[in-house]
Amino acid sequence: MLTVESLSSGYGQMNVVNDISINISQGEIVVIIGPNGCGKSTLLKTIFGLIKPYSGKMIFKGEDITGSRPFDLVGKGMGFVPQIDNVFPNLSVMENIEMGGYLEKKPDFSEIFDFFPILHDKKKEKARSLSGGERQMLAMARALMTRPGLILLDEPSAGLAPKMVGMLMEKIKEIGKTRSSVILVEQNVKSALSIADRGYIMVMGRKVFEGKADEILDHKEIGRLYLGKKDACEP
Amino acid sequence: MPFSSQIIINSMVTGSIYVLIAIGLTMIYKVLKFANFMHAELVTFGAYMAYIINVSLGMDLVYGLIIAFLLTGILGIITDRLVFKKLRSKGSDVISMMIASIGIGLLVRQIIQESWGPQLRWYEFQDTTYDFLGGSITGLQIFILISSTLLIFLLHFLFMKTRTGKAMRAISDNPQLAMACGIDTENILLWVWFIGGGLAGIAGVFRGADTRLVPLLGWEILLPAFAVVILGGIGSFYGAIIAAYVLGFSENIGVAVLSELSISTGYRPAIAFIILILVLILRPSGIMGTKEET
Repeated sequence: MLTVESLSSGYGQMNVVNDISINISQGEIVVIIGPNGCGKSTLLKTIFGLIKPYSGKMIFKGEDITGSRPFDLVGKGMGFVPQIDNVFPNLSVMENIEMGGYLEKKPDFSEIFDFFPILHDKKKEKARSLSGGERQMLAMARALMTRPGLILLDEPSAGLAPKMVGMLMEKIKEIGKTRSSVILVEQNVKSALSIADRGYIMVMGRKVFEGKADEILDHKEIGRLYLGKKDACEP
Repeated sequence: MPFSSQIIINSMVTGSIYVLIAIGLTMIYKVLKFANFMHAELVTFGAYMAYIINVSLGMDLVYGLIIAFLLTGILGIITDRLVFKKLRSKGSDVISMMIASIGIGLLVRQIIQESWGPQLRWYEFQDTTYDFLGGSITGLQIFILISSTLLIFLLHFLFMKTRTGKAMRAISDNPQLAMACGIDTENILLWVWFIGGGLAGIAGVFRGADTRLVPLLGWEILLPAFAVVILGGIGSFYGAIIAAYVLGFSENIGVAVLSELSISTGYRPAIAFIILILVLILRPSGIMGTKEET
């Protein structure tokens, strides 16, 4: 589905992502974990064309998409849910979803409301009045409306109550099973790994480990080094 | 005297013209986030385009109105393509855009002044005056009131019910996310300029027909228009509509009071200034304003 080869990017002179190679196949959920400020979000934004890469190559569905604009990538079947500002606050829930289906000729709204019933009851409310969890659901619903083959989720669980995190992860698992491949960037390491097929660990902008999700969970050394305790990268 | 029916009529007409200008200003502000100073010159440009059709070519003013709408809308698009799009792609800030808009405005105004000279000009049309509740109203004024009301409803429909209108609101809310939805933001911006500019052109024709044509026509009402936008709550469409009529009434009542007190009505423009200053001091967020969300 997507292959990223030795990608480097950053903001101006500040190199944030360093020589990263990852790949994801159809129907897979891949999680990227690692301490805060270590380039996970930047990696997602680079894949989605919001940041221009310094070097490296990205192949999506067999096509070279290096340097493509977000607008084009959506057309090609990629979806992106940013961590913040991921809904249109002054638009109603319904309108947010309509905007998600902007390119669809006959968008299927009832289907998305079946998947996120909580949104159906709040159809007419402004997105700004939603709770954090509802907002994340809406952001995902919006992104799913374009029927992406691959969806990039940037820390959907950030700032949510633990109970909500569980619900959200279940939804993401379902998305991976039935709808779209998922690249998930997360801080909630355990819950993310519990739904993922594979994982990458990024530290200081570099990939330090990759493997099956349960491998990473069981790997004592990794847990101790990168996941359990705060490390040098944490401000 | 200050609350005579004549004042109500005059206020509604003034307010209607302000509405058309303020909506365009608001649309451009909402989507591009800068105060478009050349909007004044779009008003003037529209007025003179109708003059070409109406006086130079001797056609009915209604055709002039339609042509003014189209050409002013197109002028909006052209300036965006030639100037603002380039600034956007360079990542220029809103201050640069605002200054650029002042520059283009001056250019347009000078071209108009060079082409038609500074003298006053009038459209050629037959107008009838009707008695209305003790005051008088002209056919033109009735036309202005009805058509601007229709335009407001049309725009409401556009923003709330159409795909393009919703996309405009989406871009105004969150341009990056709009792109992530596959909305071609540059394409939508063309519509914003076309409609915002076209409305300014219509306002220019209305103003020109209700008073007279002069190269400073738009510039004279830019300040009241900004006062309307700020009073309504910057970026608020519905706030601007209410504020336009509030300002229309304040100006006309103010003028009546001034003449009652035997003070020169030349102070009329000061009324918008005073309202502007009072709003900024007392309620900077305006009537319908909300704090900017980031």
